[in-house]
Amino acid sequence: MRLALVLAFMFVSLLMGCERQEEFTPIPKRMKVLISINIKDGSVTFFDLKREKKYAQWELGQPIQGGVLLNNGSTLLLYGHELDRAYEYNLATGKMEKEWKTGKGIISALVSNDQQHLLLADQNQKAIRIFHMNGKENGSIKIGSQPLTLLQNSTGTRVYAIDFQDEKAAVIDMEKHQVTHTFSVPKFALGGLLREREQELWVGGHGSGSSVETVIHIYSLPSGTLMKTIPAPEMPVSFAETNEGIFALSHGSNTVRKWDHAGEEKASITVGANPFVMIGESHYLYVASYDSNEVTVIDGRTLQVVQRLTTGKGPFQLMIREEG
Amino acid sequence: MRRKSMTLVQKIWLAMSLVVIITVLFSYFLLNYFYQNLYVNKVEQTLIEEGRNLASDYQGGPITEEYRKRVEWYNEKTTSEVLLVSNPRELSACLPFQIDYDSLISEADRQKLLEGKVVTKTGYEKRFGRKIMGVIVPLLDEHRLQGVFYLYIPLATIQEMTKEAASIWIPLAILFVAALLLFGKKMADRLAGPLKEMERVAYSMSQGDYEARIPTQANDEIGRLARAFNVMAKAIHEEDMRKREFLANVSHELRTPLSYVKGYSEAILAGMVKTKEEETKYMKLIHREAGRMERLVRDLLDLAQLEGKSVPLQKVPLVFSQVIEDTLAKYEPFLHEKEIQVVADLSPEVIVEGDGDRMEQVIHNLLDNAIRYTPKGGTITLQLFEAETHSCCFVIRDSGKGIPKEKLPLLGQRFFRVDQARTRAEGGTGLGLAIVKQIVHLHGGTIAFASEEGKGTEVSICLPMWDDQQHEVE
Repeated sequence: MRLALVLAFMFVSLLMGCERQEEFTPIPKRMKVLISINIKDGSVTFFDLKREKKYAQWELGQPIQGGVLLNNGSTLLLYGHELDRAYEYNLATGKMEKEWKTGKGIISALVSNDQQHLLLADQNQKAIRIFHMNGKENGSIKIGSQPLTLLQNSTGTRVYAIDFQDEKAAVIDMEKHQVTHTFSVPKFALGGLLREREQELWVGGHGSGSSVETVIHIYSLPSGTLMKTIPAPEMPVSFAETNEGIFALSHGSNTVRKWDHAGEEKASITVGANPFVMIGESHYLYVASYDSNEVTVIDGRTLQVVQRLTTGKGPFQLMIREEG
Repeated sequence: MRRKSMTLVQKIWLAMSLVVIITVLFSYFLLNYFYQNLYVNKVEQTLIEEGRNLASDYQGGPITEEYRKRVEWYNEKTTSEVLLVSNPRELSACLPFQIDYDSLISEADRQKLLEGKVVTKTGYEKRFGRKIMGVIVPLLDEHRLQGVFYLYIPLATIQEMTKEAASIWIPLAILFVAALLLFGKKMADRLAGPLKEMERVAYSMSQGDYEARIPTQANDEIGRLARAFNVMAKAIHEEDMRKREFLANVSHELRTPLSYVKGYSEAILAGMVKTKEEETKYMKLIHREAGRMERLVRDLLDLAQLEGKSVPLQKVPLVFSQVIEDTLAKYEPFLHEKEIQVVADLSPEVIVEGDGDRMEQVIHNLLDNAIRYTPKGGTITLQLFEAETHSCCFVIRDSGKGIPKEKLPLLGQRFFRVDQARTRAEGGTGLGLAIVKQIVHLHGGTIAFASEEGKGTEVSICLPMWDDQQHEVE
C-alpha cells in the first residue's frame, strides 16, 4: 500500500515535472517582435520585425483565446475562456513563469498604463477583475456579460468596456474602481477606437441575427450619445490610428478602409481571408487572416500590400513587443 | 405419441415456398437498397455537377447583383433548389465569437469549403425544416470564401419515388409468389404421384396381386424407379408362377409312382395275386416305382443344393477327357445292349478346374439322355476340343429323333419333357438337364442345344480352362 502511494506520488511528480519542463524557443530581449496568437491550433507565432520573417512558433496545444504583454513586454500572459488558469511565459527564456489561478471565463485582458494592474474580463463572473502584477486579485467591477472590448484613455484613469452581448458600453473610473455611466451600443459590438482629442469613440461590430453590421458607430465621449455612423461594410471589427490616418478592418468583406484624421474616407483595399484583427504601428498595418493563416503587412500610406507572413492556424490576436 | 410427420409433397412444397419467399424478400430489400443508393448517389452527383457548373461562372471578387440575379433566374427554371449564400454570418465567418446564431454552414463545413471541397448533406436540415439531400459548393477567391451555392432537393421526393416503385412492385411480387406456390404444389403432386402409386401397388402385391403395374410416362428418376418397380413386380410374378408350376410338377411326378405302389400293394394285400410269378412281377413293379421316387427325390435334393449353393464345389484341375472316358466306361453294358456305336474324339490336353463328382454327374446325365433317346443301332458322337483361348467345348450328339425347334429354349427347365408320356415310361425324372445346366453355370460355363428333327440332338458345353496349367503348357 505504502509502496503504491510512493509510486503514485513519483509518477505524479514526474508528470508535473515534465509539464513544468516544457520550454519554447526563447525570444531575445533586443528583438522587436510581432506576436500572433492562433486559436485553431493553440499556437503563438513570433516574427522578427527587423528581419521581416518568422522567428519562432510556440505550439502550446491549449485552447488559448488571447494574450497580453506584462512587465514592459518581458512576459506574455495567455488566457482562454475554457482554461481555468492563465499562463505567464517569460519570452527571454521560453519558459512558463507563473500560472494565474483565474478560473474559467476570461475573454479579454488589459494592462493599466502604469503597468501596475491587470484587468481581466470574466464572462462567467460578468465582471472586470483587477489583479496586481504579482497575481493577487485586488477587486472586481460588476459589468455586462461579455465585455470583449477594453479600451483605456492615455492617462489611465478611465477604461471603456464594450459589451458583446448586452448592447451597452460601460465607462469605468479606475481610481474608484466603479462604473460611472453606461450607454447603448448595437448588439454584437466589437472593436473600438478611442479618439480622445476628438472626444470620439468608434465602435464596430458583427450585427445581429442574419443581418450583418455595415457601419461604424461613433459616440461622443462625454455624453455617450451616437454622433454619426460611417459606412464600412461588412462587419468592421478592428481599428487602428497611426500618423497615416484612421483604419478599419471589415472581416465580412475582407476590406481595410482608410480615413484621414478629419474622418474623410480616402482609400480601401481587399486583403486576406476573413481577417479578424489589425494593428497599426508607425507606417505599417498588420492584418491577420483567420481563414488563410497569414499576416498581411500593408503600407499605411499607400495601402499597398508589402509582405505576407505565415502564422499558425487561426490567427486571432496581434501585438507588437518593442525591443527592450 | 408419435409426431405426425409431413408427407413428401408437403416437404417439397414447403421447401419450394420457403425458397420462393426468401428470394422475393431478398430481392425486394436488394432492390430497395440499390434504388436508394444509386438514386441518391445519382442525385448527389447531379447536384454537385450543377453546383460546380454554376460556380465555374464565378470570376472572383465580391458577389455581384447581376450574378445573383442570374442564379435566381436559374433557380426558377431548375428542379432543385439553388441558393446563393454570401452572407458571412450564414457562412460562419464570425465563428470564433460566441454569436448566438445558427448558421447555414457549420464550422467544420466552412473548413472543408475553404479547402475547396464540396460538402454534401443528407438528412433533416433545421433551416429548411425538412429532410433534404443537398450539396454545398464553395465560391473561393483565393482563400476568401465569398459565398457558397447551396443546392438541395427535399428527400421526400426521393422517398415518394421509392414508394411509387413499391406500389407497383409489391402486388406484382404477391402475384408472382402466389403463381409460383400454385405451380410448386402441382409440381410436388406430379413428382409424388408415381410414388403414391408404387405404395399402392406394393400393398396390393403383399395381398398376392402380382398383376398390378404402375402407369409411367416420365423418363426422369422417379419414372425409371417406377419402371424398375414394374420389372421387379413382373419378376416376382414369374417366380411365383414358376413356384406354383414346380409344386404342381413335383406332386404330379410323385403321384404316378405312388399310385403304382398303392395299386399293386393293395392288389397283393387284397389277395388278388394268385401265383408266385404274378406276385414277383408286382413286387418288381413296386420296387421299380420306389426307385423312380428315390431318383426323383435325390435329383430334387441335388438341384436344391446346387441352386441354394449350400454344398460348395470342390474345384480341382481335371483332365476332362479322363472324366468322360471313366463315365463312358460305366455305360458300356447299356451301350452294348442297345447296340449303340460311340464315336469319341477327346483331346487329352484339355484340363478344366472343376468338381470331379459334379462333372461326372454332368457327363452321366447327358449320356443318360443320349442313350435314352438313341434308337437301337444308333450312334453317339462325343467331342472334346479347345475352343478359344482359355475355354474348351464338350459336344455330345445322338442320332435320336430330335427335338422340335420351338421346344429347344425350354430344355433345361425343371420337369420339362419333350414327350411327356413316353419319357415318363422311359424312367427319367425330368430334372437331369436342369441339374446339368446348374452345374455348368456354377463352373462359369455355358450350355447350348441344337437339334434337327429326325436326325438327332446336339448338346454343347463350353467351360473355362484351368489358367495356370495353360500358362505352363505355353
